Amino acid sequence: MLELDKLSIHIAHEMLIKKEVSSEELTKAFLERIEDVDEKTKAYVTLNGDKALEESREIDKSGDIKEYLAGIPLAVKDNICTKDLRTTCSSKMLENFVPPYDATVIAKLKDKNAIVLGKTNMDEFALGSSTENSYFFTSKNPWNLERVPGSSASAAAVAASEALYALDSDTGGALRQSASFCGVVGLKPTYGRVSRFGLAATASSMDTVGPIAKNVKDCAIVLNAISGIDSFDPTSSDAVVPDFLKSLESKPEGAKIGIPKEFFGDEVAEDVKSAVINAAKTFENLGYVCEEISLPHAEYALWAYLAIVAAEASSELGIYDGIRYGYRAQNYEDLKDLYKKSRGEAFGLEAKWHIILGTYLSDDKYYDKYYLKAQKIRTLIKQDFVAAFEKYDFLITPTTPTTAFKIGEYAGDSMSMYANVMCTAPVNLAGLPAISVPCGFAQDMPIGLQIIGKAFDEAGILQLAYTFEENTDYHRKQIVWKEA
Amino acid sequence: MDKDTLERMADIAHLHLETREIEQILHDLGPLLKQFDKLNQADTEGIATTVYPINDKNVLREDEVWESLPIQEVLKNAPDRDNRFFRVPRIIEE
Repeated sequence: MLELDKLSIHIAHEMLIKKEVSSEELTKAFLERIEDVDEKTKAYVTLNGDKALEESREIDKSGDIKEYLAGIPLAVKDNICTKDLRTTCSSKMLENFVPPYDATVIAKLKDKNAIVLGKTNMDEFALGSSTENSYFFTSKNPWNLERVPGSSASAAAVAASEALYALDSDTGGALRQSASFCGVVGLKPTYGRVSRFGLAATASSMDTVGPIAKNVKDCAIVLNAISGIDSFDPTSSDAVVPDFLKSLESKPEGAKIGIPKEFFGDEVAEDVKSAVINAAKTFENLGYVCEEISLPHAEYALWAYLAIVAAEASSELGIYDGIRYGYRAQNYEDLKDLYKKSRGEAFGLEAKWHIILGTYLSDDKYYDKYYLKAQKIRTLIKQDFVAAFEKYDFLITPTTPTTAFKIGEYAGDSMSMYANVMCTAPVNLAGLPAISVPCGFAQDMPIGLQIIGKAFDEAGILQLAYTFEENTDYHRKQIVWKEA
Repeated sequence: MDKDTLERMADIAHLHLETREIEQILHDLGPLLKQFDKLNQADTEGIATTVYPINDKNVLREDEVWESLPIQEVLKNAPDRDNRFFRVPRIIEE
């Protein structure tokens, strides 16, 4: 009997190599787990069961399992295109959309014989913090089914062992916030490190694809597989891709850690603050210098982020017109009416107010006052980080101001919910890499520590996160299922 | 934002809104736009804008012919089609 809760990518890989388990057995075990617990977590929108099993048998037959991810099943957030597997962005608009191609990240994983188990739920077009904006249903946090799993249910899937790891996306923090809420590890790479080709855009100057896994080492393995320049994504970077797994063999010797005080304001719960302060003490005990610093423009970050995300999302969502793919209204008078009704009937309220707000902010009359101003503040925020990284190697903050909140807690008040990304969104504005690792619990709900690094220093944040993980036990705590 | 402005924005964005949605969005965006005024407290004199955070440069490639995705596969997702074409309402008067 496979103990899925204790499995990780590197352990499963060794078992496959030693023939202690086959890819088919592994895949079957995860599909059975999904069968058992997904009615509780509701993490998956679409399953790929038969196809996944078929692929696992082929991999077993070929014996082609040398690569780390070969024969190992993953979950994929439903805004990442998977060839011949429905990709909905949890929207009525794309309810029946079946991509004719794979996103670059998926193509790279398939090249390594990875097995896609299915597609996970999310807020419609990644707008929100709780999956409550999904057209289909609200997913649940496996640590407490009355609570939200974050903006993306793939962290819940990994936490509940419904997949060994996941590919997720992060525009203002979804990947890290969900990892933090569900007590798993999530890495948002530097903007440009991983191709966005085939990721349905929410805000293309901030969208990033990255891994969610049970531990730091697994994140390094997945990042190795998906990084690198892609001719299909002109914003992808030609920066040298180091071996992230190998980088874990050394420690970030003599590293200096900054703790930005603006990320510890009144919005942040006391137990979250103290867990992060305790993490700083752990680092100090290991000989690292930790000092309080200031990122003076952080107070504007949330509003600058919201202005930019709304303006970009309103533009990105313009491609959904009811003509080429996606939903088309049944009754309309002319072409313009077809556009309006198709979009009006298929987008949810959250997408709609983002479109209205974004259109307003990019309007001639208000462009300078809000949007241009937000882009200038973005420069100031980026400069704050650059200045901090002249003195420090890493910054640590809470990943989210609170642990996972209750389903319905912010009903009808999506603006307040936005404060949830106060610690993560500044990192997207600056395009930097950051990782969330479990650093404590409050009322049995996981707390996440965010480690922010210099541009393209994923190896550094992985090293520091790994050092933290080796000296703490938070990532080992097992879920005690609590019924809603 | 008043109702007329919101309706103008919805028209620009080609987005049909029901009356209750208009009311809800007006109700939500009002306080939000007040918060946005906070942005104007930041001193941005002489500061350039940031559009892309990292690789802010143009990328060019050779203009080469390559194989496209199979047209029939791509068109499978079209809500209404006729052979190789998307079917749309008449846009030119007779």
